[in-house]
Amino acid sequence: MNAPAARGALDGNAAENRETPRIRDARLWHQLRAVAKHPSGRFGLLLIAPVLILAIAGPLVIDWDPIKINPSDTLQGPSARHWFGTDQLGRDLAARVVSAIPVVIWVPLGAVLLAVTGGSAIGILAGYRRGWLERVLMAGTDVLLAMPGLLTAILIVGVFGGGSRNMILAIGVIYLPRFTRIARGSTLEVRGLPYVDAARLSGTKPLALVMRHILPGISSPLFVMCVLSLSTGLLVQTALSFLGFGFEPPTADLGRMLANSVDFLTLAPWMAISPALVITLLILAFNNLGDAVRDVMDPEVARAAGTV
Amino acid sequence: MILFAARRLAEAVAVLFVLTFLIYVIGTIVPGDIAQQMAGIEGATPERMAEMRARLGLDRPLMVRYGEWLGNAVRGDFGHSLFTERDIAADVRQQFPVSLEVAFASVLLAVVIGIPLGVYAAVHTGTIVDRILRGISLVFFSVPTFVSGVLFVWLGSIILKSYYTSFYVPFTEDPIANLRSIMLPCLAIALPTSASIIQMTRTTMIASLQEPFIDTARVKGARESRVRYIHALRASLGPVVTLIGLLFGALVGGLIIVEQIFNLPGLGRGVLLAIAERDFPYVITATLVIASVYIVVNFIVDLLYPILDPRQREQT
Repeated sequence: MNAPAARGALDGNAAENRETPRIRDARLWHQLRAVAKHPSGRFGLLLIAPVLILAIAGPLVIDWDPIKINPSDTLQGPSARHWFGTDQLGRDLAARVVSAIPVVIWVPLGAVLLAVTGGSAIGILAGYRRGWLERVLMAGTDVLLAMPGLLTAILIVGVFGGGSRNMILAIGVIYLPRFTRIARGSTLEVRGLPYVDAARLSGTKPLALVMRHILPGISSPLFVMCVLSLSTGLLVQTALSFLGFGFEPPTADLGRMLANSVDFLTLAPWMAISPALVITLLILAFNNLGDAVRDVMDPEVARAAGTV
Repeated sequence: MILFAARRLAEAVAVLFVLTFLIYVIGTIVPGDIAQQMAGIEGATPERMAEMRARLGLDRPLMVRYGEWLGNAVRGDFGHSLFTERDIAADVRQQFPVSLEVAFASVLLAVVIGIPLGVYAAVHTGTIVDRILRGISLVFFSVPTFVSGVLFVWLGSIILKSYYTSFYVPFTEDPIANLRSIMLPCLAIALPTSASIIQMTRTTMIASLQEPFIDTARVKGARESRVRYIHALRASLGPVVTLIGLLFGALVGGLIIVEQIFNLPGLGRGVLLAIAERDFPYVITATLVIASVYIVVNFIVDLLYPILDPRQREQT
C-alpha cells in the first residue's frame, strides 16, 4: 500500500543484503532522472538556471562593489553602465542582487538540514521508544505547531538577532515539528514490520537498528518534505529580511532591498523589480522541483505540508 | 462529540499555557534587557540597573514573576507596555479587530475567487481554461505576499489612486473608505490562498464527480447543474475547509507583512514594533491572542468537517 514500507521490506531482505547499496544508488539515479524529465521538474530547472548563472557569472562580469556608495549615480534607471539600475545611495543593483543570491539558497538549505536532522532524531526516538517519552516529545511538537511559522521565526530572530546562523536556527525550528511528525509516523509503520523484529531479535543494537533498518525505510517521505520545505524556507527568510530582521546594512539582502524600494516606488520602480523577480523565480523554481520530487518519490506526503 | 470537544479544549489550554511560559522565559533571558535600555547605555551603573530592575519587578525569581503574570492574565489584566506604558489589553482590543477584519476579508476574497474557479476547472478538465488556471495558480502560489504587496502599493499610488485610501479607516466610521483602505492588502493575502483553494477544489471536485452517489443523483433525475453544484460541491468542501484551516498560519504571516507594508494599525504591526523595542509584556499578550485564534480556527475546522460532509458523520 505505501512506498516506504515496501522499500523497507526490500532493504531488509537478507538474500539481497549485499546488493542493496547498488540497487539503492541505481534507484536514486533513476529517480533524479525522472525528476528532471517530469514537466514540473524540467520547468523548475529551467527557472533556476538563470538565477544560478547570475550568481556564478555575475561577480566575474560586474565591476561594481555591492556596498560602495556612488553619490553621483543615485536612483539611475537600468542602463549599460548599471544593468539593473541603482538605489538611492547610488549602489549598483546588479552587483547587490548578485551578491545576495548565495545566502537565499544557503540559509533555507541549512535550515532544512537542521530541521530534518533534529526532526528525524526526535521523531524516530518518539516512534521507537513510545511511552511517556513519546508523549512529552509530541506535546512539544504540538506547542510549536500551535504557532504560526513566521511569527515564531520573527520572535527568535527578533530576540537573538539576525544573520545567517540565527535565521537558519529560526527557520529550522519552525520546520522541526513537521519532520518530527513524518519521522514518527513512518517509524511507527516500519517498526512493526517483520524485518525490524528479525533484526532486533538477532541482537542488533538500537542505534544500529535505527541507522541501518529504520532510517532507510523512512528516508523517502523525509526527502520529499525537505525539497517541499526549501521554497517556504526561502519565503520565510526573505520575509524576515523584508521585515528588517535579516542582515545588518550595508550587506546586500534581497528582502531588505525590496522593503527599501517601497519609499521610492514612483521615482525608481526598478529598485523593486530585480530583487522581487529573483525571489519569485527561486520560489517558483523550488515549488516546481518540489512537486516533481513528490510525484516521483512519494505521492502521499500531503500537499498542504508546503504552507508556512 | 462533546467529549471530543472537551478534550481538544483541554489540550488547547495546555498548549497555550506552555507557550506563554516559553515566551516568558525567552523574554527574560534576552540579551540587553529592558532595564538596561531604560537606564540608558551610559547611565547603566550597577546601582541604577538594580534600582530599575526593582522598580520593574525584574529582581524577583522567574517563576514568581510568571505566576503573577499568569494570575493577572486570567483576570484579563495583561499589564502595561514597557515602552509606551499604556494598558496592553486596551491596545490589543483596539488592534485585534483591524487584523481580524483584514484576515476575514482576505479569506472571504480567496474563497470567492478560489471555489468557483476550482469548480469550473474540475467540470472542464483538460480544456485550455483549466490549463491556464493551473498555470496562473502556480504563479500566484509562488509570489510572496511581500512582493505582491509592494506591487499593489505601486499600483495604488499610480493607477488606482482614486480608488485606494492609503491610511486605515475603521468600518464603523466610513464603510466605503474602510473597504478602500483594506482592498489592496486583502488582495495581496488572498492571491496565494486562492491559488491553493482553486487547486484543492479542483482535485476534490474531480474525485467526487466520479463517486457512485453522483450517478445515483443523476439516475434520480436531478438536473446536471444541481448534481454539480449541490451534490458534488458539498462533498468536495471538506478538504477545502481543512486547507483553509491549514493556511491560517500562512495567513497570520501574510497579515504581519501586509500590516507593515500598508501601515495598518493591527496586531501584526504591533508585534513587530514591540519586538524591536523589546517590549515583552506586549509580545507575550499578542502572541497569546494570535495562538488562541489559531487554535480556535483549527477547532472550528474539525467541527465543520462532519457538518459539511455527511459521510464523515458515521465515523465519529
